[in-house]
Amino acid sequence: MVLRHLAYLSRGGRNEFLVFLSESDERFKICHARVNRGEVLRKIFAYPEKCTGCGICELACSMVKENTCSPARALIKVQTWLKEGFSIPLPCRQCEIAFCERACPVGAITRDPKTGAWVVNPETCIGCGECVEACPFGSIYLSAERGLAVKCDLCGGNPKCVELCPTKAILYQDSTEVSFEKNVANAERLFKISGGNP
Amino acid sequence: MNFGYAGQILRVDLSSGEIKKDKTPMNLAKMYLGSRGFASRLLYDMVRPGTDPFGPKNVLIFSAGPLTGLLWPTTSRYTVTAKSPATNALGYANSAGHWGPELKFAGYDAIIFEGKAEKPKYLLIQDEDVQLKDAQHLWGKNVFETEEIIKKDVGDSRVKVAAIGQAGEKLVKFAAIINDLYRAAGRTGMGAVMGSKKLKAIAVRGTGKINIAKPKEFLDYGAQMIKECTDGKKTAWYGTLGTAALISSKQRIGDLPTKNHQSGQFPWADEISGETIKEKYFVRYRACFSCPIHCSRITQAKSGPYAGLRTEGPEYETIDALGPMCWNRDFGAIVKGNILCDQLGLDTISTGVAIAFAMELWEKGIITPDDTGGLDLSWGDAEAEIRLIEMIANREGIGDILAEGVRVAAERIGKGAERYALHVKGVELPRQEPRAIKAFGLAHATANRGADHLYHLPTMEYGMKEEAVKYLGLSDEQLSELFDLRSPAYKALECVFEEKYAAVADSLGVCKFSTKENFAVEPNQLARAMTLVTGEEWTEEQLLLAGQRIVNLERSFNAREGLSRKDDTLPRRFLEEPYAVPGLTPTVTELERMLDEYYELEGWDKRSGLPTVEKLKELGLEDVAEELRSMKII
Repeated sequence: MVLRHLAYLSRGGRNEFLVFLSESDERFKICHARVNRGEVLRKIFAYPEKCTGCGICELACSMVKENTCSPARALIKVQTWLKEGFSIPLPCRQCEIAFCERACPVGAITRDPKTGAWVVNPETCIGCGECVEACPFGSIYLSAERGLAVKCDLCGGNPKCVELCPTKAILYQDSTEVSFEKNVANAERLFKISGGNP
Repeated sequence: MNFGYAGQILRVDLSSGEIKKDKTPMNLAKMYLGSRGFASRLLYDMVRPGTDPFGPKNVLIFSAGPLTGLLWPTTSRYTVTAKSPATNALGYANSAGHWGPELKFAGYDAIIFEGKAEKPKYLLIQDEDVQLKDAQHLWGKNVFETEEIIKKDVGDSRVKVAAIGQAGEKLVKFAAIINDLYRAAGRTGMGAVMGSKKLKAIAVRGTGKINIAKPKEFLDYGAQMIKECTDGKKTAWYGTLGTAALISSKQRIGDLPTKNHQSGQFPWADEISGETIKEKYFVRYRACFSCPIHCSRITQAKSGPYAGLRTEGPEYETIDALGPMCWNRDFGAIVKGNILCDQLGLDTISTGVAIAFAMELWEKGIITPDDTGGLDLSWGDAEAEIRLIEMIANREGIGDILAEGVRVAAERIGKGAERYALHVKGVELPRQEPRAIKAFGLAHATANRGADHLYHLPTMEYGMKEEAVKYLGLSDEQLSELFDLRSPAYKALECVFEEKYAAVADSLGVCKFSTKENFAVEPNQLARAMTLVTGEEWTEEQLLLAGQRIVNLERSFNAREGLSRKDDTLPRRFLEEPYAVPGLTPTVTELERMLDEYYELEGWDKRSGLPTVEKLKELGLEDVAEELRSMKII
């Protein structure tokens, strides 16, 4: 049996604990089964250098999830540095080891086998906010109207924020694609440094 | 439940400090849509003729539209309205960024300021919680400093701030209100009205939501239109070079005003063109709220005394006003001037025109070193230009006279200076050459807030065949005359349609760069959006009728202040000094002919240039018709 160990500090160091995830774990199986079948799990990756700060991703999200226009209710957020004119989109990372899921005392957060997104079951969620405390990125929220946890579920595999981003500053991608592109960019940089005469 | 509208308006009495929340009057919304139209009606009802623009009886209105803040292309805009100190008539200015949507998310369609505070105040809105706060520590600070201090005081970096700088405090007649650091409600001196009320800033944080009557359908429709404005041909060029793209195209046709309109071509246009800026100075694109077009850019000066300075923009109007108009080819100086105007809270158009005016007076010997305190105002002296911007904002030396705007400054200076004061109704001319494009000559002359490229924003004459056939009903032969920029033919017809659509865009809270400018979004599509958002049936005809009603109401406000056909004019330079690019026959602007046509098409009285009783009644403005008739104005 292979054990993967993860230690993390949560809530200002009050609770330090180890999480053990084994191959027999149901969630572990789901992920690996997909990889074994040659399917690709995708996430939303952000490219801040392309972001114009328009906030269309936030509006799209609030419309899909809450039928209303309200950036405050969006599950993706954009942070902006006004003076510098710089913005960063902050989508949920859909962590492989998800602290929100680990922290949930009632097992309300489960992985969607189709997309790999962590989703909240509103029937089970008790709105305690443990997940909000646990998430290292601030990507899970308590709904202003219902008090229950809400988070990005990748719109079931067709995220509206990505679909509408005018500058492709957020993309729904397989991480290997992202790595490959960065590999190429880095190779090009090195090639340039060498003056085309490696 | 309110759909599209936030549902409340704030009434702030600065004299007493009282703050009230009223329901948004939906009968007004139906007649005047929102934002500009809505505020124009409130101004008409609240400000009596003869009111001192800087007195406590003037009102200052900030208003968003029913589409402001929604998932739809370019829903970022809001309007600031008051009686203008520059024109002593209707004043308003329109801005974007993120401030307007934030006001709606806080739950308000508009804020009406009445009275005058004794000591400097700022308004802090955090959703339901609204307070007038002491601003004595902010008075004298520039816009950037004010924004930073307020965010620190409030302890929330997400508040959106609209503020005035030193220029507004000192009542400079073309002081702007700046929001989100770089976006200006620039024209007609709204910043000065804010300064006269001792209101330094409005900081808003909104975490609410805007309800949509048919959210699923609106999501699909809004998404479709956003995609069209993202990839569509009609908006693509703004997304590449921004408004700076205009430098090269205007240079070709002699529409790049140079040396206070002595010429329409600038020998060094290449050095400051959109293409050059993109290649040399571009850092990254920026966009206002919900805008897929991203016409804005962060740029950085690379050489000269201002190397390293960064700004958002500069926009076309600013580049021309601070560049060719003053014979200045240094991009770094334009960036520096742009930053100064944002920080001090000045309208870049009027500032540039005022400086060009001073430089021409210097050239003609009308002002001398005695008048300027030794400052050399030779054409193209970038350092003097930068110094003058500061002198205007702080009302130092000759800056104190220029701060009154070129109309009043010319009166004070005398010696024939008025010949070089390029304004209409007291508002400095925006950056089009009325002898090169006749449509803009008519537009500048007739706009109700003074010289204004955005009141009509005539664009169809640039070869927009499909739209000209559809909206103006012109035949092929007539089209070729419309497309002749130097011919006055059909320009009145064009302006009468375009001003209606422009009023609709302003009043719904959407930018003209997705609508009026290029028809990427057409009136019937806005009508469908309004239907889905409000749940009430809207048609293209109803929207354009509201646009026409707004234009007529605004003209009626001016009529009550004593304005008429005599004020719909252009500076003598455009009427008497022929000009054209080499190879073409020089012409003047054939204004009277276009004016006659324009009034006739409007259904107004040709002699007075004012709406008739019948026209006003036809538009549902019976009360306005009655009042103007009883005052013997019409």
